[in-house]
Amino acid sequence: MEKYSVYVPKLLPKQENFIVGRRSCRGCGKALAIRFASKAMAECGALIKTDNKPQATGYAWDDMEFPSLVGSVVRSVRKSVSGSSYKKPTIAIDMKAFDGSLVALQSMLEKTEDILVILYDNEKYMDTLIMESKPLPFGIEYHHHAPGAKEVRFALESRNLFNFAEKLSLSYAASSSIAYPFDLVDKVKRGLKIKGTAVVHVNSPCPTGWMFAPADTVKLGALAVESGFNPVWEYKDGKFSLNMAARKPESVKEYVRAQKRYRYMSDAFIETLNEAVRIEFEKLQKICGK
Amino acid sequence: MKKKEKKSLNGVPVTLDFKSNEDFRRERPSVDRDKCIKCGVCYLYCPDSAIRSVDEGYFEADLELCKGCSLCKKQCVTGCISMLPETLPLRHPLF
Repeated sequence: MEKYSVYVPKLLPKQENFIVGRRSCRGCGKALAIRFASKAMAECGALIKTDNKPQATGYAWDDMEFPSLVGSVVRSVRKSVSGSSYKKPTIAIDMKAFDGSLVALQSMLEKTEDILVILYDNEKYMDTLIMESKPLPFGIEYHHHAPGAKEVRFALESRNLFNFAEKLSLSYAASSSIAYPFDLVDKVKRGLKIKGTAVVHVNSPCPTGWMFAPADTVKLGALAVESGFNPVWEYKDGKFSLNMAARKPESVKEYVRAQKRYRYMSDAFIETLNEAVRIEFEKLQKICGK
Repeated sequence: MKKKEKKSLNGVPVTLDFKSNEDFRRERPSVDRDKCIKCGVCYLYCPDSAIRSVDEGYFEADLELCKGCSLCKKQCVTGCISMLPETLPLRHPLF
């Protein structure tokens, strides 16, 4: 047994750049995502987190609004940190960047800065008391009517980054999940190497906001990938590629029933949701040429 | 609670406001060393980076950081981690 004692988790760098002793919730998916990203960057990036709360990272950081960050902070960080080794400024932000029909993200991308943006997607605004964030989650309760097939498909369309990754001037874009950490680490490393703007989207379940047991964080992340709800793909050199197939397309029901925030959903509604997820996944397969 | 430390990480000076996370915890992970194969999956998935390698390559949780989310128990390959119940520290009745 001693002969085969090389296990993959031991190959990650042991230095913790995401400072320990943080006050995140139990089983926090967001903390996991940032931890994996900081492990991937090791010493070749400078991380900036944009939230209203004090952060705990070993990198240089500042509190700023997202649009104003581009003009001033990115350049100043590059000046202050750059020495003999080149460092790429990295911003970790929640889906706030998608707000106002992508205005914040687009205004940043127009300037074609040389940065990496990590979007940790827990479908909530964490700095304003776990409020629902845009793009709208599919289960939103409308005032006048129950959401039908059309609304569900629209909500999923605005949620998936591959629908508009080509229109934005990106040099690299990818989607990943915390359930597959080495996939995430590879993508962050690749985003740091490529020159130009890179975006990495990370699906990170939130036990407090989604209402499930903190031990199930990784399980829910894996379910989202397996059901095709959060497809894992990559956009590089103008080409899409699908990294993981949806092995259990019927497990959307299991994914929804595991979360108590969707407790009011009927079986009929879950079927329409399953159909919408299938259509979105087939669209991605067509783009990837499979 | 520990005192404030001043450190520099990657050449950037930072202050570490170290707080202990004991008040989160209701369960405490304990490792059965006969079953453990030292794979490090618990170390990989710990959201609080509480689990560290100790003597002889075994992995154990730092109880000052552990919040008892039992994610390590769920992800463990051999099932060598079990959660033991723990009493919460006494608090002032007002808080």
